[in-house]
Amino acid sequence: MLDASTIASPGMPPVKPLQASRLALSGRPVVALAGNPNTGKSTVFNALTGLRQHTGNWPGKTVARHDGLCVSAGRELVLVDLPGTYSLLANSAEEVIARDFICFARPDATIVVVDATCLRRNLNLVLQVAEITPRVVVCLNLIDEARRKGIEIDAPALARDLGVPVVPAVARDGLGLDQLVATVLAVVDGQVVPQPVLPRYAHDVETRAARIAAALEPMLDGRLNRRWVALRLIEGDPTIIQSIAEQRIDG
Amino acid sequence: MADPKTMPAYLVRLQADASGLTIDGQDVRDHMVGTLYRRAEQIADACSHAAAGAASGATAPAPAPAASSRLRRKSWDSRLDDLLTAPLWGLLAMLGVLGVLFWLTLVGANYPSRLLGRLLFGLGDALSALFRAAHAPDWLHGLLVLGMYRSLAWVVAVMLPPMAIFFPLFTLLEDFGYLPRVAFNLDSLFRRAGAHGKQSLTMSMGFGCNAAGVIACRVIDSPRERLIAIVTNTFVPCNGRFPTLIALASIFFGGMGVAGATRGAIAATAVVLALVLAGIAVTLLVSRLLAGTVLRGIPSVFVLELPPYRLPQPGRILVRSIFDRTLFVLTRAAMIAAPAGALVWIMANVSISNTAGIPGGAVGGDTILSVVASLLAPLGRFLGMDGYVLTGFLLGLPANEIVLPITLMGYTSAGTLTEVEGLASLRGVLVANGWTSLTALCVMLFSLLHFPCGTTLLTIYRETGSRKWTALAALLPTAVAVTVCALVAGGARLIVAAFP
Amino acid sequence: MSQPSSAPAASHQDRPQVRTTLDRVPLGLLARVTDLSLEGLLRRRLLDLGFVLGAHVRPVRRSPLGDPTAYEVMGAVVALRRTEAAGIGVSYRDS
Repeated sequence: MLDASTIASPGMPPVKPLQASRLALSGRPVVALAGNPNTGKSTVFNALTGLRQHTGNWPGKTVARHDGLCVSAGRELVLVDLPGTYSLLANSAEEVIARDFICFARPDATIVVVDATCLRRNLNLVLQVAEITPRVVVCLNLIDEARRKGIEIDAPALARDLGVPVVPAVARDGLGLDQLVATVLAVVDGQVVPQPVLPRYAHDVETRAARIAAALEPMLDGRLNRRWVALRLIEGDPTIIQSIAEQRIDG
Repeated sequence: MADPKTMPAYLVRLQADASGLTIDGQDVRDHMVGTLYRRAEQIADACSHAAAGAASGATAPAPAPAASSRLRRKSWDSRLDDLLTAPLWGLLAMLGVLGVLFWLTLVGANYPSRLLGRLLFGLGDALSALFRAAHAPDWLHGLLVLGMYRSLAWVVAVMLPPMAIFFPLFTLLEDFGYLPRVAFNLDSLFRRAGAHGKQSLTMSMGFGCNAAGVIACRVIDSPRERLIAIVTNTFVPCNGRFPTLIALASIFFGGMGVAGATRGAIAATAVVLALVLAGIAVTLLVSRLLAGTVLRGIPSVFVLELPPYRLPQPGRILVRSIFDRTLFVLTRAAMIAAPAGALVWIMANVSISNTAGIPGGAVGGDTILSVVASLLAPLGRFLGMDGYVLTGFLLGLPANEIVLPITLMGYTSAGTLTEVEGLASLRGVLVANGWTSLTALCVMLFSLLHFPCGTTLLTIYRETGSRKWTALAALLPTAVAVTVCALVAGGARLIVAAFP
Repeated sequence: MSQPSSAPAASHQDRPQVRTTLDRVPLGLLARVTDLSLEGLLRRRLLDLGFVLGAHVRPVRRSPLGDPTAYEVMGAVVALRRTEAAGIGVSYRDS
């Protein structure tokens, strides 16, 4: 992991309140599943976990949480299905949950399920996830439907432009899912190290972010992505301070 | 420095220092979201190509790509949307879809229901023979076979076929993407009622199960509008009540049980459809009432995505609708039906004047059930029903499915559920106990509008965390049901009196 | 007009440019977001859905009861009520 926005020290124990349920206690890698609503995210989740699912609520929230176990080639992964959201900018309980999980529970990889028929809106979320963690794998779902609508997506070009692996899939037919799991495992094991190409903001924003990030360094201890936290402070997000405070005190 | 106590304060200070930044006169947050989207757009345009033949291959930087590809030829789903959201046709199509859904359920469930009934009650007779052969005491046979088993058999025979038809069909519509169109079509009504447009989505879920509908209310962010949706969800008849509505509509308005004609099925469907529409009207009225009184406030943001239609996967639908929904609801109903059947058998067989004696000996007379029923009789008659039906509704609080079986158990003098093999014999029992079309109508209206079942109330308590709102969710619908039934029954009496 | 359809940004003077709010754009015409006069959560929601400055938006259909209207934005279709759409400033080219 060479990118400046790396989250350091992957050996840190995950923070308690967001731990990936009982399934994760045995040291299995944890993989988050993010995506816009209506992208076939739950189809991917069901296809990967089958009946090995555990359903509950996110702590203190009336938002359903689904965890599942994905077994492939003798390896076991804990899959955490995050609420479907359009962004991670904390405009709703769902978005705060999805953001906090990626940010504080630090999954070993995050799959972002993307609807190939509606790439622009979906890539917006991919970029936001990649701003928090580099360990992103894009599942380019519904490529059959896109083709029917006359859209062909160049997956290698997409992977190059995003700087993260992209796996084309038709989740409902099970197409591409083996490749998806293999790619996720490669990222989890560190064989593939995604280096996301992040959007650069206006000069004023970036210099200020760098300054704040430097000031945050001794405090965040490498636990969180400094640039990302700095950007949230700059945009005036009130929920991020609260989330950090809760995590620190509980953990 | 990294003291957890002082850190939030430090972060707040950092944030305050950063505040007020504007980029080209734009709020910094807008700038950031805009930058993200511009980048997303850039990448998306660079990586998407027109699929078929004539495409130039390389990236033609179309300035408004959303426009060019879609305007030329309309895709099938946008043509379908033109129809399903058209001014008149959209609404008619909605009614049509709902009507077809009910009709298929009603017609399709009739024969399997009869078959299942014959099978299960036949099995019950075999059980009885077994008990006799073993010289089991009468009360044990009564409690287990006549009470528990027969209630169970009734619930399975009456509920399973309609659910096994309705749930897959409904899941099909859901997976196809039709429900957001319903919300789109009806939003205006809900806005005027002071409610949220997504309430029609939560109502749709209520057709399956009101508890599920209440949970679905989570999609509504505004607490005020969420409460409105939760409290009014019971006005959508769930699968526990549908069989009752369908059976009564078929018998008293469809002429079924007399002669199974298609015309009768259509008439029965029309009655069920009218009841559902009445439920929707009451939902809007009560929502308006709540929004104007205890839940006053400004309407919240309404943003609804209309996702593309998706061809559903039959296998997945069957698995999800049969396992997650049908069997889930049926198991819950069965678990309640068995003990409730035992309880009602005891109530119907223990005579008040003879409590010390061996139960099972009471013949007619003053059984607990008949005493309760006669106490409730004046109120029942006032509401166009009778004491036994009202007792059925009260004892049916745990699950709406068992209201009719309990009522029937009360009617039969032996205090056990009659062998109801299909609708013809059901009609016979009801008519023999003085039922008319008006009785059936009042029972259907009361079933549609009364308090939610125990599971739903529990869910409401869990979702709201408030006893107050749970109580309101029970009392308000009951008040509506009582008012409507009293008005219908009273009106009918007046008409009869005026034109004898 | 005989002009071939071209990028709104590229041809300033070809056709009359109409500045209005999104709720007043005729069905089927492509508009461009020029400003958002909304505040708070609604503003943030709309930004998240792609109603950002410079984004292309097209009203595609209206509800049978007149409100809300469905808009095509960022390749997806999103329905907004009139009151909300009125807070989105746009410009479009009259045809």
